[in-house]
Amino acid sequence: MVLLVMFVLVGAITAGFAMLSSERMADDAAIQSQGAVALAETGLQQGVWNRAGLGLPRVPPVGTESTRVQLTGGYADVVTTQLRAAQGSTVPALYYVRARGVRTVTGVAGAGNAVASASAFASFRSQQMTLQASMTSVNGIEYQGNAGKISGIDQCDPRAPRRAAVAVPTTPGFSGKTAPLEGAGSPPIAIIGPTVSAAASAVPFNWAGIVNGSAITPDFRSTANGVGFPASRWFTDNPTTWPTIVVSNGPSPSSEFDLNANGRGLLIVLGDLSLNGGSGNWNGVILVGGRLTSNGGNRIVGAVVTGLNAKLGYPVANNRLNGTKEFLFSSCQVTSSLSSLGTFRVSPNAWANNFPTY
Amino acid sequence: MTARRAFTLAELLVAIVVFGIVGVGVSRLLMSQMRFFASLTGQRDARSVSRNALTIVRDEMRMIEPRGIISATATTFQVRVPYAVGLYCTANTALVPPVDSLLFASAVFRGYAVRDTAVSATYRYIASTSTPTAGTVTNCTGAPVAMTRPDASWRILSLPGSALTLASGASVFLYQSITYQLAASTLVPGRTALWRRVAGGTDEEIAVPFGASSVFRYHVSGSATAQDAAPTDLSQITGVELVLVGESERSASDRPLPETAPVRLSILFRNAVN
Repeated sequence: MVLLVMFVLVGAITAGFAMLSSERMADDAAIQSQGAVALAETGLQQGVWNRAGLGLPRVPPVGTESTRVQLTGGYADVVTTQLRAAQGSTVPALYYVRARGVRTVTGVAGAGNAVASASAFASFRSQQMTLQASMTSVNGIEYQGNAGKISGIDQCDPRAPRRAAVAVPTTPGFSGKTAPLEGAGSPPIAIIGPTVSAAASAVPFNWAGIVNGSAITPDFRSTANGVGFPASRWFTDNPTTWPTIVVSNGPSPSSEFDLNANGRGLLIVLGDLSLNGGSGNWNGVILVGGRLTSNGGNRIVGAVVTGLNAKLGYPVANNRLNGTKEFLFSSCQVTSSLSSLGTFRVSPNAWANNFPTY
Repeated sequence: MTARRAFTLAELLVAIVVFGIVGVGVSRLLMSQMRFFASLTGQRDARSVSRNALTIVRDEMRMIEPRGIISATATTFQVRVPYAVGLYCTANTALVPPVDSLLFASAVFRGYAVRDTAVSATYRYIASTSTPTAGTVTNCTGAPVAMTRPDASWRILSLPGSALTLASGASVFLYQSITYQLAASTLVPGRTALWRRVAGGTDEEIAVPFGASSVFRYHVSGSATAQDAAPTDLSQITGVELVLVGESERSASDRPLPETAPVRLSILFRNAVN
């Protein structure tokens, strides 16, 4: 009798454990499945909106790139594939971004990893900057001598409509020889308001956001004496990259940053900027909070905007330009230098979860 | 002659009484265990019914975009389910990324939808039963479309129907028309099943049995909770709440009703209007 009772009880307990085990496995499978879906979705979101955080270049690649994002409970492999390059400034580049979420943590020993996918089409839009002139100065310009050139003719497309060479407020305006100026108008000077404050309002930059760091996350941040500024070698080693560089020398107290290197990209100088000799050559856009002082034979191809600290209410002295400097407008260089500020835009209603996960 | 020892009558009576008492206790314990086991089995079966249904429905419904909803009631939900999302090239040709091969092969094409933001912010549905065929590759890769086909697993499909006027890069998806319905079961007569009826395909009884209180409820744009009735404008639906009361197929011998396992799951459409 005792044996019979024990036999029955052991059988019941064994059956109970077996049932419990299968129930646990089924529940765990459902949980892991949901977890994998969440990982894939998180990976997709990160791949689209947090490229810098993943250590990926801000500008997505021409071909395909992939990276693994480590997440709580697993990881996601994010793959970005370019389907079409941008066509001019109106047709953005097209990409396919997909993430494969793998849940590596399981509640049941021996259970395999749950896998899910999420994908979306996305376009990459570069930032656009509308500029009236090769050099836009919210502050005034003092041009000394007859040498050098400021040109509003597009170096990238000379057939494009010409811009003014410089744009300034009526007061303090442009002073000096106008012969070195070329572009639309005679003289090729555009007026952007009667006063500095009016001109400051007319220049549509979120300068306050740039200064406090909320509008732009730079690739490099330099001190006033150049610590943190990319070395010449960096530009050589990364020939297709147009970095965003912020020099923290302003707006108050403001000091002068001496650009004694050649480079490219979007250069944002929060205080004053000095270009000396022939070493301060730059391709791209330079935004200056304070004044610009240019001496010697430096050459800027792209566009320059100065005196932006006036938008914050700070007084800014006039730019001083002398020597054989050249400031040449180029829409290509402007576009390239702003490319790192571009963003992905996911195509609405084109999300899918059935990319093969095997 | 040696005396043989034996139980006395009194000893036998006591033993019978004791064993009787123990036997009754053991049998009651066994009966209780069996009922408990049957109850647990029923509950597991009931949960399994709900769980299986949710897994299938969830994956399909997440890709729905609201204008694809054809009808929605408490017991029926008819919708155009995308199974391949791609980009429009030109001349009715689309570039479609790889899709799970079984899913693609088993889908029953009932048309496609195009979304050209230059014309409309919403998808336009074009019904057709003519399955897309292999398209001309250069319609996607040649000028002026100039798309890249990453590899041969990316399909280039020729879409049926009259010529479209669409910008290249517009979103396109192929869809099948599926009706989810809570209706009488054929596998378990007299009970309610969740049916998946594919237009042009087969009717599947994907899970059974469910209690009579199982319903579909709807999430509507602007509201945080689901509501019983679908809105008049079905495109305002942003998700569906499945209220499924899974039941065990049989009831335990001592219970008049089957075990139940109610499950409530909200599936929000990932491609909802934004």
